[in-house]
Amino acid sequence: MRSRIIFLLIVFWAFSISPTNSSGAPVAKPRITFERQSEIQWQSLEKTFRAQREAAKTDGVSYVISGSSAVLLGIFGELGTQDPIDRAVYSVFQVIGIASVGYGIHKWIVSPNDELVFESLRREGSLTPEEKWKVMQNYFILNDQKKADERMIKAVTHGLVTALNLYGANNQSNPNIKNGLYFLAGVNLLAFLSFTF
Amino acid sequence: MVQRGRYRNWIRQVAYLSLVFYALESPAQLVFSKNARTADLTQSSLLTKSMAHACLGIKEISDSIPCQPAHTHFNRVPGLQLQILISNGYANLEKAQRLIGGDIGESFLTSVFSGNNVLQIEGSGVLDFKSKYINARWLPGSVRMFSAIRNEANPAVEVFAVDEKGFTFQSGFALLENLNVGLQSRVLERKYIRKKFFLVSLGTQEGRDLLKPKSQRIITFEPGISYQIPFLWDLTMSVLVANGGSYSEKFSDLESPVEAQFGVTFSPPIGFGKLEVSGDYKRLNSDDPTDRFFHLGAGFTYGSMLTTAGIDRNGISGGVFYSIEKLHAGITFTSTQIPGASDYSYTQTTYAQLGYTL
Repeated sequence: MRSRIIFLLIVFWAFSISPTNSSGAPVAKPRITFERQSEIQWQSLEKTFRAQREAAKTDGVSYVISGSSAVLLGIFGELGTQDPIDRAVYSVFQVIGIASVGYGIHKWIVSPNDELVFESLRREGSLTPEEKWKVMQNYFILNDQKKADERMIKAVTHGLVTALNLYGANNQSNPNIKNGLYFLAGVNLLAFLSFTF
Repeated sequence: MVQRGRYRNWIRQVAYLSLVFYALESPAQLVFSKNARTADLTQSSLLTKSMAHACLGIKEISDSIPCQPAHTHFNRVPGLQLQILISNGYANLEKAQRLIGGDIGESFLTSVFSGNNVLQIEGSGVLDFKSKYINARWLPGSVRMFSAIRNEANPAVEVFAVDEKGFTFQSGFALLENLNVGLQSRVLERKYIRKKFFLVSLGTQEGRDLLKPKSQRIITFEPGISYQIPFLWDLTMSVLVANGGSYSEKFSDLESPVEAQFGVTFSPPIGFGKLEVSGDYKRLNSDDPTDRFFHLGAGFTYGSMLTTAGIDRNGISGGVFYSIEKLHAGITFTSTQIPGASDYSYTQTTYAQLGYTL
């Protein structure tokens, strides 16, 4: 998301600076209409999403290959050892391997929400690039609001868990459990602070 | 013929005298044996062990808080992570805990040391909290033990066992572009035994008293700084001033002097995945000579897999670690036998680690 905001800022900055000639004197601005600006921005966005999709495919393939290696290593490792702890680890390798293959295929094939919104707009021939750009901007703003709401809910949750852990630690007589609860209270307090600021 | 007989007698006498001197050797003159990756002064994660503890320049370590507190702000996703690590020889865990707890009698000690030329164990449970501003670690317990018996005629035992529990806090930020600073504080409670003795001495109360555990409470403040050069294979140079702080009691047999530790990491571009090569100069064991301060490690990340390797004077190590979403697991093999070196005896250790992100 941040890269998109930076991209928008760069585009805004690129269009806001005054062009100068070789001696540094300002030159007359070429007349770039708002429609033309939106078209350029839309085209840049198209490039960004295409690059993102390619990167997601490459990443997805890496998860499929590494997941397959985890499954194979897990099977052969389990067959090759009698140690129960090592066998348990090799079993977990197999679980992670299968999950990794699934995750890789998901990443490879399934597009995230912003890509779907973009693709829907791209396919719509009745809208001008300016209109498409405006819809996409609104989507980004709403998405940011959604994330801010999620952070607030997480902050409140961690704040409440902090209070409960402190209460639990004060009422606990076992020193180990007491320390553990204080640690969890501290961790939740830090999480509360990190989601608040 | 007479000449050859003289030589034979002379060789026999020298061999006999050598044996006599060897039998009279004090156990204090023996050098402490260790396995390759269980260190006296450092509790460490599986990936750190596998990379021979060469981690000061690494920005993010999947199964641990970073070795360099200045790299705290590189954490992308906040989270609480539970990691349980155990080495082979875990059947000895209870024995090690009992030994460090001071709960020892003659029959227990005989059962520990008789018939076991090498006893080794490392087990720890760690809860790590990672965020962009602060990292915290709760170590409810970490038991590390290594003992070896030499000379069957008059067995000499060397034993090192430590139990640590405590907290670590880290914070760091980018002071300037590519220049990071940070501070780490550790609050530790350590109990340990580090002794060399003849097995027969355990028959007396004085002998058994040798195995009384020593206790230390430690609060350290360790500042760190690192500088990155992104266009030069993301070269990162790192310095940590370690072990400064307050010790409830200082012992000559487990010294952890204030020292500057150095690390360099770079990431050469390869066609796929990410390769990181790292080198550190730091002390891991209290009696390490300077040539044991050099540690070299490498890690290759591809998808959900991270393969690692490391080498230093303590030995070699290699492992594989898989991580997807909330589940992590890894295994690392280590040996004190360094390729090319003529070690006639060596120790091999396997570490396994399971983790879950809460």
